[in-house]
Amino acid sequence: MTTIDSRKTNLLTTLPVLLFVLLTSVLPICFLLSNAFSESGTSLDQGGGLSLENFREIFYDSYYFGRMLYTVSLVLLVSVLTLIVAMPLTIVIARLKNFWRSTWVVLLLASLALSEVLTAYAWQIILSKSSGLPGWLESLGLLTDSNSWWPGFPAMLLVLVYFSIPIAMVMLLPPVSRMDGSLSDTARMMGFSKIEVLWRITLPVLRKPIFQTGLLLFLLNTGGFVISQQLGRPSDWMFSVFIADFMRSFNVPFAVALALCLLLTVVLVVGVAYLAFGRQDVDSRAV
Amino acid sequence: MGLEAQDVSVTIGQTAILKGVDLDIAPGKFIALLGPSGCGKTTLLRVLAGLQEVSAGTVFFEGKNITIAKPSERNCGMVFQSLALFPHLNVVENIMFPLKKLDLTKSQRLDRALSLLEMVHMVEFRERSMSMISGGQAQRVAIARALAQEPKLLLLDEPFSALDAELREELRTEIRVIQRKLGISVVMVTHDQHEAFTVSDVVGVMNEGKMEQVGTPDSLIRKPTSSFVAKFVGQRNHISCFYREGGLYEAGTNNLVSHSCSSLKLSPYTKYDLYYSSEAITTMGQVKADALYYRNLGGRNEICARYKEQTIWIHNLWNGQPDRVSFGVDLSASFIFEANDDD
Repeated sequence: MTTIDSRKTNLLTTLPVLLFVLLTSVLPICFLLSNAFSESGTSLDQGGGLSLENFREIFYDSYYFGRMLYTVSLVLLVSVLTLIVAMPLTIVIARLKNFWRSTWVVLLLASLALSEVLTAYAWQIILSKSSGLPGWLESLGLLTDSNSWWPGFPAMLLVLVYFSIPIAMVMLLPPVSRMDGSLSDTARMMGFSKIEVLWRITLPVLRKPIFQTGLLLFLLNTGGFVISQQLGRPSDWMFSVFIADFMRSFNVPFAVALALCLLLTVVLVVGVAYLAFGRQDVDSRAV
Repeated sequence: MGLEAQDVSVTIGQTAILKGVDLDIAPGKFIALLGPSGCGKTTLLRVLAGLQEVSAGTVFFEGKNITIAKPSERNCGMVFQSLALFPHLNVVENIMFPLKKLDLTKSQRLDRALSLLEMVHMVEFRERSMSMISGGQAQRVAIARALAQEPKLLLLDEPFSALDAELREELRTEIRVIQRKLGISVVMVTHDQHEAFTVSDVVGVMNEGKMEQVGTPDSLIRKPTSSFVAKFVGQRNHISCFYREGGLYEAGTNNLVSHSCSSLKLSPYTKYDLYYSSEAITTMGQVKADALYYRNLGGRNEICARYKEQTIWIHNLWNGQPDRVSFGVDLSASFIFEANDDD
């Protein structure tokens, strides 16, 4: 009786959550799916019939496959570069005294409050010849005949990494701060250098939060298109830019089909990454 | 020529953590650094390990000045309070890890790791991950790992604080046996007087960044040189009193504490601090305390009583269970020190 009662109670308490998920996630996805499988230019609710036309077009044209591969590679590169920059910075901040650490946390959170659009515009100015770095360096005589540093792949990559760093640091700071300092003291007493301690102790001990942060960066950046569109050339644009373009041109079924392909690719990459790195158990007591 | 710290001071910011500490440890001895929380004992241990820079003073090990030597150049192993076992490595890998810094092949490293595990009775757990062993087993692994590089000095920072009483006792004995067997010096930080006294050859009592007294457990009990040591090593009950002709009286009330103090050469009307144990209680006195409750420890009746702001334990020498008792103190079983002016 008790078990049945508790099951009923569990069901009752989880019902509102289930309804919420159904309304906000399942229904919209079903609606998108119905659009993706409808004839191009129409949707099912507009009387269009079921069709695989959209997917056929995507899979027959290697262009989309190439852009997908490029996007996944780019986002993986952004995630790795971000972690390489964010990890040492986070370790430094974690070792600061409380006041300075809190100040950094506030600054990081403040930078997160800026939208992607504002960040992209700010970097357009910084990288422009007229009022940005190239112009200043030229006026100082450090550059001659400089051009604007955007649009282009390096500018886009730089800003994508810049935008991701605060997110990574906010994610990494709690586990890095909690990490037992005596782990590195022990290794130092054994004769390991600071670099060896970072490589052999700190990174392996923190591999789980590092993996989780990398995954979050991957997911966030895969869907982003503002920075890519504003700072890259058309040849540098990520997959989501095309989705947005088709949405703007009112070809919703094709845009949704593209989005579904992106979603499936992300799920595949995340699944593979999880199987490869995510299942390793890290003892949370020591972190 | 063992380990010697001379006039060591450590100041962090505006705070003086260690204030001119002297310590001399003979080779092969087991010394405990005993003191209340925040007295600087862990800082002193970190100074010895090379993990904490000194503001002043010198540290010698086997006659060599190691004050500014790197931790790895001091030939010492350390067991941290948290044990600091690497969670991403299993038991045997944890012990093999420090051996990577020695000129050994992988099979030699494994052999040495297994012999260390055998010494701490952990061979059968060698493949276990850190999350799959108990607190006591983790303690043994930490000790084995600290001994892997064959240090001449082993530093232990409150190593048994997280264990239950029975396991503490067992591991205390074990660490002492290992220390004797290897002939190394051991410095152990603890705030547990019983632990310090049962395991160590020598105990250094610290207070507020200073070394109050260094001596054998017996000498600390019998001849404490300061009121802090007298209080900390067991004579926890305290009466503030003064001497006048005829006896020792409680300050502020003129209640008699003891008549028999003629042999102590006390100065009249000088304030003294008297530290006494439960056993030093007599019925021949006028000091008053309110009984809180009674307990019987195998035929020994004791009263937990409130004396001024203190909770004291005294022998129940009275009939029944009185609510209020008047007692005196046997000075031959107590310690008396001239009171500091700041008190």
